[in-house]
Amino acid sequence: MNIFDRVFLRFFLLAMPLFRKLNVNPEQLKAILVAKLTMDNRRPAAFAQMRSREKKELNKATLKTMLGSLFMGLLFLVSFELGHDLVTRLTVFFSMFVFILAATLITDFTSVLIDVRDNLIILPKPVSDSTVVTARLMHIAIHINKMVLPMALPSLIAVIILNGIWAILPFMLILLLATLLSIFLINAVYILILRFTTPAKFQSIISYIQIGFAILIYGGYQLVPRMMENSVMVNTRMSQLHYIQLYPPYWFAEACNSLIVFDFGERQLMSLALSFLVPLLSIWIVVRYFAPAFNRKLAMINGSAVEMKSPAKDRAGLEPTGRTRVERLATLLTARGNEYMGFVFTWKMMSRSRDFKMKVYPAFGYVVVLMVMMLMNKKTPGWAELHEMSGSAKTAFLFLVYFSSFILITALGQLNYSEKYKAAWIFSISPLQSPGPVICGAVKSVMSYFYIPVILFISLLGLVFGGIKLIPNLLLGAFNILAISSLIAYFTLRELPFSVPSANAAKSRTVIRSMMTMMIPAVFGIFQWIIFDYLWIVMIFAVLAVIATWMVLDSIKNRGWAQAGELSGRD
Amino acid sequence: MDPIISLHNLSKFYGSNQVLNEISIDIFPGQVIGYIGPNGAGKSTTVKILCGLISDYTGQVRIKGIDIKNDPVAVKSLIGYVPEMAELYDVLTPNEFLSLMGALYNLPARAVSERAGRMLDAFGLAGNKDQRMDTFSKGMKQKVLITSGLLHNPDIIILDEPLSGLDANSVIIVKELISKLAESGKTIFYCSHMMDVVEKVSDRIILINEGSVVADGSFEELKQKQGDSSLEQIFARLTASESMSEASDKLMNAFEN
Repeated sequence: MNIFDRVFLRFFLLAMPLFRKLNVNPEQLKAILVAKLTMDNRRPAAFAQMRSREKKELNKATLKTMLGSLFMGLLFLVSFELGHDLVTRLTVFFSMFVFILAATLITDFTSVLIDVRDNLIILPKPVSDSTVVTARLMHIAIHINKMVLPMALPSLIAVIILNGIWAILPFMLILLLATLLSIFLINAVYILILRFTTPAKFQSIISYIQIGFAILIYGGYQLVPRMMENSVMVNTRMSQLHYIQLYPPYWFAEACNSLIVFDFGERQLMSLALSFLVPLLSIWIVVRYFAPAFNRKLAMINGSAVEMKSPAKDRAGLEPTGRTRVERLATLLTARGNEYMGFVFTWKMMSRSRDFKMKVYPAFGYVVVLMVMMLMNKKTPGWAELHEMSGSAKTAFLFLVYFSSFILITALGQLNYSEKYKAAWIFSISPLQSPGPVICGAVKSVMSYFYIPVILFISLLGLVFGGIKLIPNLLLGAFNILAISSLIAYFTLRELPFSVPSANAAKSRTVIRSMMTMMIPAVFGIFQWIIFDYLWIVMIFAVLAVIATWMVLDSIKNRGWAQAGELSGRD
Repeated sequence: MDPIISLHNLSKFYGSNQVLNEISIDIFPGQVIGYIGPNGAGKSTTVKILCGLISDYTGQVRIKGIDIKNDPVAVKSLIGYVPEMAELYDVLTPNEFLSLMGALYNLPARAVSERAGRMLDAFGLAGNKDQRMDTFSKGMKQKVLITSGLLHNPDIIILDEPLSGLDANSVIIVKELISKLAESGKTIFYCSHMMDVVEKVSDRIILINEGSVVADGSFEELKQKQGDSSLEQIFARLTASESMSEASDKLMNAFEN
């Protein structure tokens, strides 16, 4: 437990007398929280040598989170550009705040709220359901504070500058209430979902919601600054909008405002009352009344191994030759033996692993958002331009081709990692001569799964609009991407697929790294833009790209154990 | 004497799949029950219901007269559960983990650390009390788990494959521990696949197959009734659908061509 955790824990435990009324046992609560907070600060030690790092209490992860939140907080400052009065500005601020908080809760804290290990360790003990739920909520709240304070800091400073130093108290107070409301909202959503679906489907639904939120946030960041430029927005007063009274961020804004300027009119009192009562009351209701049902359903999430699972879909429509589509594709694209096996294995793992999908599918969303933005930005190309493939049509086309590779690159980046990495022992004990063919098959599988459908779709569009003369450029674009991806794979994929613990893939590093890796296709894209109209040159380069791809894939195939990473050290 | 655990017409469905079929058992204080059966017979489900982990069942389950649906918290404080292959919060040390367990059983902190200390010492883990459990071998984790189940001195102890992963010496320690606990009046509910251990340790054996009880009695009684000389054979006779040597023949024949 680091110092922040301790402080927050103390703060929250001040509410002790309240706990007994809620049927919560304070000593048990404290014990659970102490254990969980201690665990959070200890990442699983991969190697014994890492032991010395445990001693550091304030580890880097906490600091990184705080910095990231601070950065996001800076972005919230845009709310102060809108409107002229404090209420309007605060409404926007609280809207963004609640949204980001809810998104974070869903993405990062689902595993805290629904920790399946608790089922075997805590639930068999004489602990009331209310205690368990309260422990979870408080655990989340304590963690959230590490994010909330840095996130709110820039806006807090802005409010102080605009309204004086005493604005701190109301602001912080309302902020606390907004946080509680967000936590309750997410909790309520989960309870509702659990009510209507089985625990097994619950996890899939949550994954899709997480993906959806990731895309929404990305879209939001792109769209909101553009909305700011729309002059209508700049001049609105929130209080004039009709149904604004029903919108919680508005309550917070009004309440905050009223406390800062000591304006206690009827409207303000209403908002004050709502801001205080709604969050506190809802948490009371959840802990007191919904907790038992919630826990019961959660306990079932890991329980039923006996539930009938439908047999894997691809065997279902078996053709007379006994080969599925995947197997035929594999035969087409790979050599027999290990490469074939690598292809099929990777394909099935990718299509079924929720883990993998969660990390890669958001990339689709990002691409879609970027497309939308592109269209909104430049003038939409006219039909003549489309047919000639010149000007903005050309840019749009190339953009589409090169940017859709983002998905492929993200997928390749995730290929090595898996929660079930220990299962890779099978590769260690079998007489696998070299990992090269398997990795090569895996790379081809990823390419077929993620890029080929996309490029076929783009080709179709391109042919419809641009005609046959687009083919050389299509080929060049497609094979450039494949060549680049193979190169990236050559340099970064040194392990067998799905054999490395996913804890090692630091999330922030991947996002920044993939942004930088996108520079490479971008450079090629620019180059192609220049030579676009010179079809012969394009054809030559296309052929070169094909050869390059083939050569790189071949070198991956021929990699021996020495060049690939150490496998045996991993138990 | 009133039964300390009473299951009456206990049934459980997972979807349309019936896992437990009207199970009725009365267990009396001080008995050591060996609960055996093939995989998928319903052993873990019964155990989970007894521990209050599953509440979606029909029938009555009473522990010391208390219906588990009415007051699960009270029931849980009476039971000590040692699960098989359990998840442990293994980033914690045994001391940290056991102090969490103790607090959850409402035991005062000092009593917990003394008791835990003594038990860990007895298991030979004195030097490892403050080491993170993710460096522990399976046997070491199992010992910590057993300690956590016994920490609050429960009257009813439910053990699910407690010997898995333990070395020969530790197996002896645990077997003797079980007999001594039984002598002191505790009731023990013991699930296992190791027939030879179950033979020696239990005074009553309950064999469950496909959700129903197919045998219930002491080892001597079962031997007389079934006419077999070992529990392994009794088990096979009552649960297997084809003979074991047929199955092994088929396996050997798989190597042809």
